[in-house]
This record gives sequence, C-alpha cells and structure tokens, in this order.
Amino acid sequence: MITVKNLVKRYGEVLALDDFSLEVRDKEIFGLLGPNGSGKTTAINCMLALLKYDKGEVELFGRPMKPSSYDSKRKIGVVPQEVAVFSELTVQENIDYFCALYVKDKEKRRGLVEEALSFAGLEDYRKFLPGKLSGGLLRRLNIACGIAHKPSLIFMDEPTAAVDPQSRNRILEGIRQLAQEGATIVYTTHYMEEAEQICTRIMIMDRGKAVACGTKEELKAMIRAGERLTVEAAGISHQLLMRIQEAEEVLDAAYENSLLKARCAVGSRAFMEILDLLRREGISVGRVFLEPPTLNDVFLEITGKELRD
Amino acid sequence: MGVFKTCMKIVKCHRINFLVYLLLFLSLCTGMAFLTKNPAETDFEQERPAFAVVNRDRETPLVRGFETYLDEKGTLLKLSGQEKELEDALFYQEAACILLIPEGFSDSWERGEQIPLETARSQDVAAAAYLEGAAEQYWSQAAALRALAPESSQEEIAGKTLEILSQETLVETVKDSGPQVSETYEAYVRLEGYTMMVLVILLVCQVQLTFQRPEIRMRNQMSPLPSAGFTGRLMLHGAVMSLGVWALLTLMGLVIFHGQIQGLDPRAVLLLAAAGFCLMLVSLAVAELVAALTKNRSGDTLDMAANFISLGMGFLSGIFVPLELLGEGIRTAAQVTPTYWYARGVEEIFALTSFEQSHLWPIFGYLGIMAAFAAALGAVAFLIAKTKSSGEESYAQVSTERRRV
Amino acid sequence: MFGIIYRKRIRCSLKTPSLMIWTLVFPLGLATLFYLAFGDLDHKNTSGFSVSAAVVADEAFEEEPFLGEMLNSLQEGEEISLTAAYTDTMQEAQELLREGEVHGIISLREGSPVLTVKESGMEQTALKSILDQYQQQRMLLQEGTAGAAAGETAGGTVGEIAGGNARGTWVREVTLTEEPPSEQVTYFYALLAMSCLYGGLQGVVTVSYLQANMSPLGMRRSIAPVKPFTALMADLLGGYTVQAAGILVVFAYMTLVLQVGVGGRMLLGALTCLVGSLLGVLMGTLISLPARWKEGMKIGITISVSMVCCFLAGMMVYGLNYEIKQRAPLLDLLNPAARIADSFRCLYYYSDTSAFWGNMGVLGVMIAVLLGILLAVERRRGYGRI
Repeated sequence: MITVKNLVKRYGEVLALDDFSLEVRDKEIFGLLGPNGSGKTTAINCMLALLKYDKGEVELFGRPMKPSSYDSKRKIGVVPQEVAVFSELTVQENIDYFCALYVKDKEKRRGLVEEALSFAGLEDYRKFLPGKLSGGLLRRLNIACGIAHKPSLIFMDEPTAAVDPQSRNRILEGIRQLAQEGATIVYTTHYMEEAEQICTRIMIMDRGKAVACGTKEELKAMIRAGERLTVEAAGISHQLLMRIQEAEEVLDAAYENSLLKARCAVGSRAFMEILDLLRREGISVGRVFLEPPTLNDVFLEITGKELRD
Repeated sequence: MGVFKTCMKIVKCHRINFLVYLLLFLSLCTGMAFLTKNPAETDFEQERPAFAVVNRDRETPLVRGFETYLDEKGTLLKLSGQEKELEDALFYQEAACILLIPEGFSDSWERGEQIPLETARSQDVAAAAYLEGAAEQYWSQAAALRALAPESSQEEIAGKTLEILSQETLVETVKDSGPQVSETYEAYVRLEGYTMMVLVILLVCQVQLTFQRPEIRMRNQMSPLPSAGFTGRLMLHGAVMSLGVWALLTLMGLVIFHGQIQGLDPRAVLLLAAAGFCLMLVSLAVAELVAALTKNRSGDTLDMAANFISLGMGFLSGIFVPLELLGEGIRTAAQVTPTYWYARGVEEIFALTSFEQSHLWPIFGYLGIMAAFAAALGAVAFLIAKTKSSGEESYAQVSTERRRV
Repeated sequence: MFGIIYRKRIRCSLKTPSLMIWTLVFPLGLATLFYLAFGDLDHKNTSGFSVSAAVVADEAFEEEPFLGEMLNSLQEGEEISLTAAYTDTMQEAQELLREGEVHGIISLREGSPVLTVKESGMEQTALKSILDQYQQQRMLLQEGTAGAAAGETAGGTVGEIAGGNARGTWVREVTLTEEPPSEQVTYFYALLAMSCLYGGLQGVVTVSYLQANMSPLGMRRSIAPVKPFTALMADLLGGYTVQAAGILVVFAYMTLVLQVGVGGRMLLGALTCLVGSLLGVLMGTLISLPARWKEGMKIGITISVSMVCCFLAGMMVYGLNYEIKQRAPLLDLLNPAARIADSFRCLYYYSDTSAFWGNMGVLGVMIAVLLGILLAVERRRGYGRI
C-alpha cells in the first residue's frame, strides 16, 4: 500500500527525516510512535507529497506520490493533527464540504455525510458551529471530515491529542471499525497504550529515524528486558540490594520507599530467585506485582530515553 | 457543499461586519447631503455667499443702505454677535467673512474722514474677497456721490448709491449638454471609491484567509481537486462578491439620487459605472494582495489593513477632500494610488460638456490606468501567493514541532 | 495583588502586536498621511482668487477704452486676479468657454457689457460683479458730468472722484482670534479623537481577560481569590496606561514633529488626550460586556463605532460637525469624538478656555455615566454560560 524508501528531509540545518524507510501493508493499522519532534508529522506530510523532500521515494497504491496524483488522492483520507474545520460552517456543513471535494453526486454524498455523522456520534450536533463543541466532539468532527468519503487509505495524525478517555475510546473503536471495513490506516501518536491497543504493526521513530518496526510482540521480543517486578518489602539492606543487582539475568534493581523494583531479562525466571532470596533473608514480603514489558521499555532500551518527555 | 458555496457561508457568517461598513458609508453620504447644495440651475444665478455684519456703531441711513445692498450680493446671517458664535461661523466657513462697523464710523463719515470697516475672513477667500469688494464699492460710490453733492442728506446719498449700484450686467447662459447634477451625487460617487475598497478587501480577504489556514489548506491540498481549482473558485467568488458590491453601490446611488440626476446624460452614468467597475478591479487586486501578504487570520488585522489602505488612499487621492484643495506635491505623489485616477476620472466625467471622442479620451485613459493598476497588483499578488504556497512555510506550521515552542 | 495584575496587564498589552498597531502605528501613519496630503490646505485657501474670461475684442470693444483699462488693471489684482484672453470673434470665445478654458465671456452689446457663462459659481459671480462695477462707475461718471454741467461740482473733477475709487480704502482685514481659522487642523484633531476612541480595544481585551466565558485565561482569573472589582480596576488601569502612553506619543508626534498647533496649550492638549482615552477605554469595555458576542465582533463594533463618531466629528468631511451642531445639537453634544476634537479646536482657536472646559465637563459626565453602568453591571453579573 505504502512504500517509502530512504527518505531524507531537511528543514534548513535540522535533519527532520534521516534515511527513513517504511512499508505499510494492505488493511493494517500501522502505528508511527515517537516523542514530539521525532518526525512523525513530517514523514506523513512527505508521504502525502505536501512537503518536498531532499531524497528518497514514496509510492502509494503502487504509484509514485506527486502533488498531482489526483487518482491516488481520491482514495486517501487525512485527519490532521490540528482540528481543520471551518469555524463558519456547522458540523454537517463541514463534513459535507470536505466530502464534496471527493464526491460530486449530491444524493450519494448525503448518505455519506449521514454515515460519517453517525460514525462520529455527532448526529445530535449537526447544526452546531465548531466553536460550540467540546474538545472531544471537535476531534470527532475532525475525523469525520477526513473519512466521510470512504477512503481506502487513511492518515491520522494524533487524532486523540488532548481528548478525554471516553472520547478517546470511542475514537479508537471507530478506527478499528474503519480497518474492519477494509481501510488501511497510518496512525501517529505518542501514546504507547493507544498504539498497543489498536495497531497491527508499529514503527518507533526517534530523531527522524525509524529505530524499530514490527508487531508489538516482535518489538518487545527485540529487547532484553522482560517482566518488571515490584515487591513491597521492608528493611532491605544495601548489601542485599547489591546482591539482587548482581544476580544473573537481573538487568537492574532499585529500592525506594519500601518498594523493590527490578527488571529481568526476557523469558528468565530471575524474579522467582529474587523472591526466594528475600524469603531466605527473612524479609517479609507484602504485595508483589509482575508487569509485562511495555513499548516504553522498548523505546527506553532502544533510544536510551523515555518516550514521554 | 462546494467551495463556492462555502465561501458564501463564510461571508454570511461575517455579514455584520460588512453591514457596519455599508452603514458607515450611508451615514457618510447622508452627511455629505447635509453639506452640499441642490443641483445647479441651468440659468445663471449669482452666488450669494453668507456673511454677517456687526455694527458697533449707531444705525444711520447709509449703514442701513449698506446692509440692504450687501444682502443682495450675499446672504446676511443673523448672528447674535457673541464672540464665540462669530468665531465659529468663520472657522467652519458658515460665513465667508464678518464685516465689523467700528465705533465712530458714522461720526467720522460725517466729518468727511475715512475710518475703514473691519473684516474678519474665513478660509473661503474667494467669497470673502467678493463681499469685501462689494462693500468697497458701496462706500466708495457713496463717498463719490458725497463729493459731488456735499450738501445731500444721508438718505439722499444712500438712495442714490443704491440706485447706481442697481446697475447690473446682462448675463447670458450658454446652454450646453454638460451634465447638471447635484454635488451630493458627485460626492456619493467619489465616496463609493472608499466604500468599495473597504468592502471588497474585507469580503475577499475574509474568505481567502480562512482557506489559507494551514490545516485547512492541507486538507484541501489532499483532495483530488487541483489547487488551481481552489484558486479558480476563490477568485470566482472574489469576483462575484466584488461585482455584487459594485452593482449594489452603483444601483444604490441611482436609486437614492434618482431625482437629482435626471439632468445627467445616460452616457455619463455609464461612464461613472465603468469607472466604478475599474476601481472594483483595483480593489479586487488589492484584496488579493492583502490576502497574499497577511499571515495572521485574526479579524482585527484584516480590519486594520482594510481601514488603513482605504482610508489612506481616500485621503491621499481626493476621495474625501477634493483634489484641487491638495497641494501640488501631494497631487503628484497621489498619482501612484489607483484611487487618484478614480477621483480624477469621476471629476472629469461630471465636468464633461460633450461626448466627442476628444473629450472622452482622457477619461478612458484614467480608466485604463486603473485597469493597469489592477493587472499589476493582481500579478504581484499572484506571484506572492504562488511562492508562498510552494514554499515550505505553508505546511511547516502543521507539524508537531510547533507545539513544543 | 492590584500591582501584579496592573503590571502584567501593561506587559501583555505591550506585547500584543495588533493592539500596538491600533494604538500607535495606525494613528501615526494616518497623521503622517494627513500631513502630506493636507500640508497645503490652509495655504491654498489663503492665496488669492483668480478668474479667467475671454474678452471679445471687436470694434465695439475698441470704442470703450475704459473697460479695457479696467480689465487690465485687474490682471494683477491682489484679491481677485483676472486672466483675460482676447479673441477676435464671439465664436472663438465660445469655443474657449466650452472647453472650460475660461469661466465666462465678456463682450459689448450696444455699448453695454454682456457676460456669457455656462454655469453658475463663485467665479462667474465675481466676473459679473467686475462688470457691474464698470457699469456703476460709468453711471457715476455720467452723474458727475451731469452735475458738473449744472455747476454742482464741489470736490475735484469727475475723473479724480472715479479714480479715488480704488480698493482697500474702505475695508481693512482684522482677525478675531489668536490663530486663523484652519481646515487642516480639524482633520488632525478628529484623528486624535479617533486614536482616543481606539482605546476601546484595550477595553475589549480587558473584558475578555476577565470574562470567564471569553477565554481560558478569564476563567482562571475568575476562580482566583481576587475580588472581581480589584481585578477589573487593575486591568482597566493597566490597559488605560498603555493607551494613554500611546496617545501621548501620537500627540507629541503631531504637535512637535508635524507642527499641528494647539494654541500653545500643550498641557491642556495632553489632558484632553488622557480624558479622551479614558472615555475610549470605558466605551470599549461597555461594548464588550455582552458575553455572547465573539471577541472579533466586539473589536469590529468598537472600531466601527469609533469610525462613525469620528466621521460625524468631521474627520472625513470638513465642517460636518458644525453642520450637525446647527441641526441636531444633541447629537453633536453626545458624540464623544466631536467633543474631543472640539476640545483641541477650542485650545487652538479661542483666546479663553471656557469652551474647552465645557467640553471637558461633558466628557467627564460621560465617563462618570459609563463607569457607573460598568460597575452596576459587573456587580450583578455571574458567568452563567461558561
């Protein structure tokens, strides 16, 4: 569906995309994950031929994407990061306007607008001006405007930024629904939970580079870190902590506020050994938590920094 | 809903803004109507500028005769004689001049001496000079008559003077086809220049700037409609709006002043409409330029640009203050403003005495200059818009980077 | 608390470009433009008055040498200067008239002058009065000759009497006021009035800072533990300070750089600026009180109201305010722009300041009324529509 090869994009001195390559398959929800400023939006804009790039190739639907590729554009839907609607038009008029750029037939369009309205749950607000909508509704309108013409390839640039959990769930649900209906979706976000929740494949970006790509399982498998262990335990001495840290297959461990936190290598049974050790030393153990690795761990390990800064 | 219809919706959303300016224009015109006179008569009628006489001396037959005589030459205003009232009348040219008869004037007259009358002038020098000339004439005639017959009484001299002064020249009026229209209509047409500029800039830019918002541009750019299609539709909308403004203002003038422009040759009306049309083209080009140069979409930037441009041009080019009152230097400088040529053209059209080609050429010249201005400004606007849209800046704004700043 | 809000408000105003443009750049720009455009306005008005005529110099004209002499003597007349174009035939003269080269045609018919014009106007009237004088002079001469024949001549010859008929002996020009009437200054005064009223924009911004439903900032402010009254006053004062500073810059520029006079009463002029600005800020504040309007609309209304007031105060048409004062005195009295502009004019034109203080009084009452309304409304309002 999308093939990007060795894309390089500079803003003056700043290297926004550094030899960026990407492959998106048919009917998948492809997540672009990365912190602010990692080049996600630039990548999308380059793919859409909105920005000129210095080097590289972009193919959409098997054809090179140019500003004049109107046949391709007809099949693409875009949901920009900023809410891009006319403040002068009502909800319904806005959807109708953007739909009309793709669909000339009035009758057909009426049906599409209705569908988009119900998709976004905006039926009750059709006569509202965007200025009167809440943040979540506004985001939903923004999405409705991008998908009303039933595109087969949809770019969504952080569609859930600054949205309450309820609206967010609704939006994510909708995206899944779109994918089920057969659309391919490219989705950027810096919320890793979202990416984990809906994306079939995820690419992690940092400083304009694709640092990792794969399903979430594949990504997690790439790193050494496995489960994260948290133990409520009082009175762990410094020496004991040192022993835990030095134990085999324990990547790191810390003790603070009566909480012992340790990360263990993938597939290891090191956490059992830690608990054994504690029991042997006569330390009473309270609650124990064991968490699977998250994308944040993946990101942390690959780039050496937290995803959310 | 198409692009064009959306443009109309946007305009509709901001209609109050436009109505306010239309209202401003109408109140301007009503104000003008306050100030200007009725249509000039086709027969000659003497101009009778207003003046006041303040007598600080006593009443004598000669002074009475003087007032009678001057009241024929001009219009005697009844002012209270209070200082401020007199001063204001002069400041605002209600009276062209105020003639003061100083104390002891009549006594000195009787002694055969000359104490001159005093005159305080307004800025309407022509009328003041004319009235003062009439005053001179009266008193010098009276003095001459006294010299001829020193023993005559004041009544006799006054009577004789008035008799002599009643000698008037025969005035014939050449009837010609020159339009005779009210100055109010001329003022209306001139002010149309300002209103057209404001309205067209506001109408066109409001829509253009909405479509220039980076997010919306991005969405539009991603649609299968080529960007030339958007430009074309926006231009079409601008043109329709401008035409509407032009038609509205032209028709409004004809309707409001229909009673006063019957003497106007239909060809002159057509020429005026053509001048308005050319100015409309200029306004449209200016609007496109403003839209291309404005980054900020906020309403008051636009308001300000529209006001500054139209007011500035209006003052500079004789839309508010007649051209002949402005200095030579500024008139030369004003030639770089398109509205100057509009004001010139309108002036010439109203002064047209015949519709022979030789008379019409200069007017066509002015219209041509306006059209050339429109073309030049439009081309610049197009170039700027072109570079802007192909430049990085248009989308660089739609990026995550901006959020962090 | 008051001090913090006040200082922050000033800093915010100074950093809002559009606000600074309205309060400074716009008036300065227009003032410069006025200066360029109207620099010659007064000068133009005080220079003499010239008319032109075509004179048909046929045989009949040659027979009346006195007329020719008189016309010649007027060629360099001080008050009215006559440019005569001599033609041989009436046709040529008519051609000139039609072309608009001359104001009228002077010809002689049966020994009497005839004026031919194509329209009425001051120039034509002046031409007529020149010919009237010629006729009257001639009649006086006949009178004198008749008198002389009857032996009644007492004071010199007829020629001397007629010759003594020179101009300038019976009328002497005086001035009533300190400064001469000036058209130019009125435009500047109206512009100053406009700048004052543009202070309303500060008012609009102030209110949107305060109204919880206008801006997130307003909401934050509304829940802060500050008395609304204190916040309002501090904000208004801050906005006013910036506006006042701006208008004083404009005033200084006009009076010191562009040399627009205020009768040497700079301090009173500055006072007018300050009072006018206060009124402007309050007007803007009141306009923006209706919470349902959008900020852009409030700004639009503030600007249009200012423009209409200034127009009625004669900014675009000279003397309109005087005309309104004559016909609708109340409208003129209640027009803030007219009162501000007239205050400056009083300073410039009158020798005493009583009229100026009268204007100040009216402005003062207006300010008091607006302030009263503002306080009454602010006290009662709740922000139901957040």
